[in-house]
Amino acid sequence: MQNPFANQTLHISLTDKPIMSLTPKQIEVVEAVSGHLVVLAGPGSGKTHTITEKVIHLFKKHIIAEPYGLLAITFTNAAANEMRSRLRSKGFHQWDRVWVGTFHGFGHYILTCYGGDVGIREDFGIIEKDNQTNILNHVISAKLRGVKPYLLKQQIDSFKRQGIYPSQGDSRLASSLRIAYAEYQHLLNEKNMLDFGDLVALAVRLLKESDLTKRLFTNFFKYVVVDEFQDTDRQQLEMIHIMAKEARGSTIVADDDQAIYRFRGADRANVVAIEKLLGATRITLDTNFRSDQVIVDAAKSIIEYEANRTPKKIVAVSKRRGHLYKHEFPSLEEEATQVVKWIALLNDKAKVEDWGEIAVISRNRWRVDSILEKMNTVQMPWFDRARLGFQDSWETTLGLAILALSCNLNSSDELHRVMVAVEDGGLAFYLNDEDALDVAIQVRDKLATDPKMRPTPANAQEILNIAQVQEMLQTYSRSTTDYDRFLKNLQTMVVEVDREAKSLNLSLVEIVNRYAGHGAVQVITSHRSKGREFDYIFIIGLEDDILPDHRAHKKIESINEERRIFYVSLTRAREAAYLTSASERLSRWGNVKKTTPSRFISHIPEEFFSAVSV
Amino acid sequence: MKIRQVSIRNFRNLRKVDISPMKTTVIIGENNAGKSNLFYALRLLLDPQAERLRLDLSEDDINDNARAEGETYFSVTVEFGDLQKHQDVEACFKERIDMDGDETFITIKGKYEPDDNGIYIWKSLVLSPQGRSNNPIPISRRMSRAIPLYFLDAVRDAARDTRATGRGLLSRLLDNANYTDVQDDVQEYLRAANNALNKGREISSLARGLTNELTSLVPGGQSDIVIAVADEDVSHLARNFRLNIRRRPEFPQYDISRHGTGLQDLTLIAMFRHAVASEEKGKPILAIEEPGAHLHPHAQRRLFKDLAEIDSPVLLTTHSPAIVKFADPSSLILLRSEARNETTAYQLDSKEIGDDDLKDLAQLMRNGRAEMFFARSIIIIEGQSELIVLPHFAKILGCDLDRDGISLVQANGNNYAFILRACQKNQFSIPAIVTYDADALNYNNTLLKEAKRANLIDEATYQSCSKNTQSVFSDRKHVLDNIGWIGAINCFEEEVCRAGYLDIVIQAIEDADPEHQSHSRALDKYLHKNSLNRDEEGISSFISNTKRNNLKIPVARAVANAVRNVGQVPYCYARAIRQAIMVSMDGIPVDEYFERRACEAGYLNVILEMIKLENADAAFEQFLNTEKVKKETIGVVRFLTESQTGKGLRNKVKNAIADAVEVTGCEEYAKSIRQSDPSYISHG
Repeated sequence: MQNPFANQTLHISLTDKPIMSLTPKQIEVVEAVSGHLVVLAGPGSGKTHTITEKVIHLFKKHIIAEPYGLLAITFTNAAANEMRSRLRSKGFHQWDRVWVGTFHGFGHYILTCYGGDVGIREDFGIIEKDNQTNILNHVISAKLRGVKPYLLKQQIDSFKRQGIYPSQGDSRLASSLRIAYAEYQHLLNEKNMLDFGDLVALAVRLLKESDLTKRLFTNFFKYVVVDEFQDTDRQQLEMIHIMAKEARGSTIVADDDQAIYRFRGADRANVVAIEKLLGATRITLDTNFRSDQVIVDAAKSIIEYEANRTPKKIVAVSKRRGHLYKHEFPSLEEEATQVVKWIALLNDKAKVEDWGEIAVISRNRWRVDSILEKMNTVQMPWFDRARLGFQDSWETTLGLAILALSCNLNSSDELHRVMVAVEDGGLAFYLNDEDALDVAIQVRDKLATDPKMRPTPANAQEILNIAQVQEMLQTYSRSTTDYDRFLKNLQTMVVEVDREAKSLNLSLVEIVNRYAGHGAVQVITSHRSKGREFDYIFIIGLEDDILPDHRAHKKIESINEERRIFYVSLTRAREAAYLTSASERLSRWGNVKKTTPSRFISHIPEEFFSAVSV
Repeated sequence: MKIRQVSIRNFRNLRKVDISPMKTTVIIGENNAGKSNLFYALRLLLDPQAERLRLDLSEDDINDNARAEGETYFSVTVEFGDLQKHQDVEACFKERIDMDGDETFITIKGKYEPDDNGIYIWKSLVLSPQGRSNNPIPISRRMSRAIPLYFLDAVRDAARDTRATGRGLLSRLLDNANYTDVQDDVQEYLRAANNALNKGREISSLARGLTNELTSLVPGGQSDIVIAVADEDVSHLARNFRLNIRRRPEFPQYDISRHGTGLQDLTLIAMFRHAVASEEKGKPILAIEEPGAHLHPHAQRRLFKDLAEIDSPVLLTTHSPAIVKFADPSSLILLRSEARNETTAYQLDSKEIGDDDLKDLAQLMRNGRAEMFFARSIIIIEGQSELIVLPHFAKILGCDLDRDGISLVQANGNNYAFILRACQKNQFSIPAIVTYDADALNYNNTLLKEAKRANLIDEATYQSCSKNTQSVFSDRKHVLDNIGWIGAINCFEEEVCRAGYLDIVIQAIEDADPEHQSHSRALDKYLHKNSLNRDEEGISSFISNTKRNNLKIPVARAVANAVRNVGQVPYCYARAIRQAIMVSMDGIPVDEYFERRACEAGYLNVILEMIKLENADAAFEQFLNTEKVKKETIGVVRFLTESQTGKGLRNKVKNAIADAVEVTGCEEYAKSIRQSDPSYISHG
């Protein structure tokens, strides 16, 4: 028999510890355990922290009884990992009762269980980009000559976001488009593949049409948590509506000021819609824990420029003023030179501990090229996750964790990293903490005892072989298609590790750290910057045809969205933000184009800016 | 919740066993039939402590025959149904729920087989629902906690299950119990008790002595040895918990192990019932070996009812007809070891057997005939007389009905078609030999009706014999002969009279009322009136036509007592007994023990006749005299295997037995004896 007191001590430490470091508003969110809640959370308002506390609270107060569970939907896999790792650090271990993942992930999950009820096989694969392009090309050459593949794809994606399928004879589809769409679906189906859009659209259909699926999953998930709700589209709204409607309660976190995915069919009106549908109570988290005062004030002045928004206060907690700089350079070259100088200076003065605390943010991916070239010439390390030569997914995370461990076999941090990767791979479902640790220890033992173990980039494949990663992937994959994908991604990663290490002359530790976001300036687009934070940011290319994008100029909603993109980018900074632009650049056709600084900069009162020396 | 199906493949002697348990399932079978293995297989999959059992597995647990055929696994598959009524269980298995109409169910499977490296490992999986293309998923701890199996073994150790340490039931029950409200008090009393004990003169001096020894071993040792009633550390208090039982309030409490095994049994089952009622996480299943073996009949019956009331599937094994008699016939599982190292499970197929039959069977079992389900073959007999006499006939034939597992089942009022149906191949598959009194064929078509209801003859045959024609008796007899039913000449009494028991029967009639000789006088009056004689026909006519049923039993007793002296067995009963034995033995293998087996199967007198026919009498008697053995099985066997004359007879004996077997209606067995290699004779 277990020692009854062991249990009890655990109990006491969980229940009686006051909830630390939460504001009264946040406590309100945590303690509202039944009913539906819409939480409007500004940037840096500690929403992940609050949600984590809430999940812990729901379990420790037995609000969710055994064996039932909680569904937590986040917008990105990174956010899901973050949430899991925070829960883990709080001692949470009942992973078979909490499902954390993205909308697509949840769709994938229920479709692999009961997809047959909406006419697909449960062992479907997900189409990869190359394959999809082939299919699109094939469809176009057969059914829709002259159309660009990416346009067809956009069109199909948009249909799926609305839950429209070709068989439905929907009047919204022109007949030629319907035929092409039907052909596309047919080809996917033949290969037993789904595309990304299907994962949500079919899952919603499954929840609507299969009583069994709906009963099993709504019955199991007694509580629903959703993050970044302002970026949901109609199908995602529907998914949450179905899942949360009969739950004991839900917490839906949103910030309509950070809605930047309109181009992907997101509708910030969904926040109001879900509030109405569920009859939710609204709580606003208006304290910014992240940024220094001047950045919060500048952000406020930008966002308040929008007429049609729910008014929200934002209050900075930081007692420091922080810094805001702006400068218009005559050319891209000069902008690049100066930005790189500033970054070097921050590093020299030891303002940052790690290059990774500095980010260069741009509205689009090409505008940053001149900066990258400059950094390359001065050999300043930079890293852009979007330019990664392999797919960033759990199996590569596991592979990198094992490589990291191989460099430092005695490090408990690295061991922990392997354990976390093991657990995150969906295996959390079958294993508890201890077992994941066992797996990690076994990996370490294999590495430690194998005479062929040499921690060099060229040896990466050998290291993974020694760790018997292949067997692990096999154990943890739910189908052979999964397994093949895992293996392929991992092999691509190994090749990339070697290639990049050679070209940058890095050791295995350095390259692994680099992929973890350390030791290099982070280069990132505004959209991808969401949810991240850095000590220093450089928002470059702030010209009036880039942010706001020139295609957005005519429509007020588009301009508003561009403004929010700027708002999101700016609020990534903890201590300082540099806003730069160039008044001249070469257009794609080779002629010189004159530009003016972004209109959004002028929304920020002059007195907020510190003087810069160039 | 219910268990829809259990399928075992290749586990020890359970090569292929499929059963459909009911709410309470009663598993019966001879020793070594595989009852324990069936439970063991279930425990491997469902017992919360299964990890320990799985460690003990090896390749040897795979059925030998299966391994010989190249199958390298064993598996246990269980279907749990009615989950729609248990949302918490359903929730644990939400990824792989299957549906059958409104009922939801899951199929879980444990398999022991080699992995890629050839190392044998156990895997527990939730199988993919029918028609879905996803893979099975491993069973998580939470899942297995949702459907735990509690097992009480035959050699129950009440002490183990009523201690809070280890893995017994009590420790599971106490798992969530909180006693912080009294823990300070208890600690104080324990200290006081320990102190009181150590004030004892001898105890304290023993403790001092031990402490002195210890001190010399431990450098700078401050440790004291104290002889204690219990640990004083309250955090370990629960380990000392145990169940005591007080028979009456004024009696002292005793540890449960000091009470009788019957009371221990009841206590364990009470604990289980409580566990079921209070179980928050999932729905437990109880598997219990030989419940109530130590209880008196009323308590057994009560126990069975208690088990049936548990809101949870219960599986039990038993050897006790007293337990079986209360079971639902469709919940009976018969395990029979058939081929070498292979056991087959038999269960009634309710779809075929029908509700009326089930009711009749239940009634039969309640009336104390449940024993027939333990039999290897049964003989249907007309009444009480045969029940009294047949075992004696069997004995002089050289066989023992109990040893060979043969049950005599009375055909109560000629309604036994349901028994025959239940015994058919696709049901319990118990060979049934039917005997009847042929006089009934003169009066009505009832016997053919039974045969028809037992699906042995068709409607047309039945109809063709329903009219009272000139030849109706022989027509009916012919039909019954064809299906192998064995008719006594008119009735039991006539049959025995014809077999040489006439005087015995007459004497019995006279003895029945020695004072007034009322029966004897009635007999004479009857015979006179009907112009009959004091012969076989007259006597049987008297007994059956004057409804002197009170004579039947005295007559039967008298015959039974005379069997040894008369030494005759009426042909029809000899045939029935031999046939029953032949099927229960599944033929007589022709090897060096052939003659011994043949004698035990009831062919002793066949051999004796053979010896007489071959004029070997003298040699046989001489052999018996010199060797000082009796003219019984042992004498015959030794004569045939040791003496020169005897050896010369062996082949003839074999053929004579084959002929006799054929005459009993077992052509197949006769054929296999005849065709067997006679080489044993020369080597013997």
